Amino acid sequence: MNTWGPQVAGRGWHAIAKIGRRAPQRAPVRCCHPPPATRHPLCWWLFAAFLVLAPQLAGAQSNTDETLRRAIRLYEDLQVERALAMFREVISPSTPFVVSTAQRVTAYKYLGAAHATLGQPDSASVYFRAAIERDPFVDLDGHDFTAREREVFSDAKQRTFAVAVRPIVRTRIDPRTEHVTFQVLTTHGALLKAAVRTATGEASPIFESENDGVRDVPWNGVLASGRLAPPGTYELVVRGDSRLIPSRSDSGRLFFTVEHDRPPLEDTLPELGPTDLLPEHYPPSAATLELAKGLGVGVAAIAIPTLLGHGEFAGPSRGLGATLSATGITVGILGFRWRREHNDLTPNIVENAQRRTTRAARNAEIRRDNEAKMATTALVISPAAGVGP
Amino acid sequence: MRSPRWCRRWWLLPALTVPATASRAQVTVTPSVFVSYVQHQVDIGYGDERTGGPVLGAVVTVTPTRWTAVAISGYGGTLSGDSANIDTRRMADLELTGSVFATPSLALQIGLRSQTFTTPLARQRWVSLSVGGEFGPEIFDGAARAILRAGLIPAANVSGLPNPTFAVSGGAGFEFLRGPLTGGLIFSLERYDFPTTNGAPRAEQQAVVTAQVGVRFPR
Repeated sequence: MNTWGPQVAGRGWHAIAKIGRRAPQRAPVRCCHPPPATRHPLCWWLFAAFLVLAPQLAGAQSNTDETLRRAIRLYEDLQVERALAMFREVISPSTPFVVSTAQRVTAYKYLGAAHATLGQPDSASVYFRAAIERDPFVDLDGHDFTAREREVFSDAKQRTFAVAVRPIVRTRIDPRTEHVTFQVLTTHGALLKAAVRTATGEASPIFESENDGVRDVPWNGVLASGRLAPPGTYELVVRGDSRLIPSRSDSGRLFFTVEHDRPPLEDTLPELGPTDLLPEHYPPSAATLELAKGLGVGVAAIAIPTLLGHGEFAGPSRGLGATLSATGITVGILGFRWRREHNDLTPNIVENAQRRTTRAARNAEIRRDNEAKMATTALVISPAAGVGP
Repeated sequence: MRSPRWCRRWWLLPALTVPATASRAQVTVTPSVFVSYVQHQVDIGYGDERTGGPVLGAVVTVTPTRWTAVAISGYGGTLSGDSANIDTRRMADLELTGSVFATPSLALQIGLRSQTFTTPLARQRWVSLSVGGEFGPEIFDGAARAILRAGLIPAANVSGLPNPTFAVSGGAGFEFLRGPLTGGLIFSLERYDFPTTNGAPRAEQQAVVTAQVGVRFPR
């Protein structure tokens, strides 16, 4: 049973091959493609109902998608004139629907291909260039387009110069053995330069050579200074000088972030503050206190006979006490001078030195551990949201 | 003849035996010798009767724990009168003192003492119990201590006399430490008030200046 309906024989790529139109280019490839949507009459009714209801069911961009699908289907069914009309609807400024850049590029691409098919290479070139200018990575798949279309497209690329960088996906690399690959493109032969710029404006060239077409530019995460790129936002700047069109240059850029993936580093111990150290000198009052101790004994020695002794015995006892009193005064004065000349708290100085040594040793150990951790640092490179240097 | 009312009793150097290193955990033994000049005064209603002279003695101090010290001391000598009417007398003393340190520089002390005063005519024996405290802050970074002490003598028994009604003591001085060597220079004073007998009050007072040197073991 033929489930493709009455038109199938005239619309399939095999049928095209039999007719002879476009068959030399497309028949060997398109036969492998999945068949188009069912052609049962009921399906057509459902499809029409969908078209009617679509504006209420989907957004404006979905309508553009549908239009593109229908137009591509018509194009593939060799209804080129009808397809052209629909593609023009998509790129028309008066279209009521939202058209994304990708959709517009697709429309331009098919418009160019359609014109090339119709034998209008100049018009085709105009559309192809419009597509290339919007998306330099646009290309005509050899499976879907004829050699003639690709020839016109290639000619359009020679007449249009553009440089582009393909967006990246989140990638994790070991900078010692791996690298991240940026895919860049020039539409034709050019001197291509690529550099990674940091947020501070430091530029690290990573590529400079002649290029034509797509090229992979590797980067191992090391900046021109020789340091591993620290975490932050970076910008890949690609600049090309056309070899075919004099004085024609173009550039592209890509923002991305770099993160370090490694075990967390341990902070070194902070400097020892006043609360962490013992006082290393006596307070200024210490000398006075020494004097007070000596004088205290001297005063006590002379006062004891008066305060504790009998009044009638006080005289001779005071004579003995005076010897100690003189000693006390002498010791007090010597203690005062001695303290001023020996103001260091030696045990505290030793203890503080020990604490400083312990801290320094611990910090050295932490630094060693951190260096070991940093040696295993992996870079996680992700596309950035455009916040760059 | 003047009666031997000179109840000779004085308190000599009990706290000198308290080592400055009491805070050490290690047991230390400190033998010391000392020489003192003693001035003894008695008033039995006829005025000041004064005798004085040097005495020699020794003391051994043991610190079994960080917060305690025990000392035993003994000395003897002859005291001469300041006039021909006053008899020369020989004195001897033996004392046991215990100290407990509330802080490294503050000690509570208790002492038990036996003394004898001998003249050609009589011998008088004293037995007394003393309690007191000593404050000894360090100076010269611990190379010396200033010493201030005060105490009471709540119980005293004197042969031939009623017990004193009031007895106190006080002292001030320095203790020096240099390596294993210890030294001290102390002034001390004791006062005794006796009940009135035969219509006359009796009072005695003894002032002493002592110089001491010793060696601490282990060094």
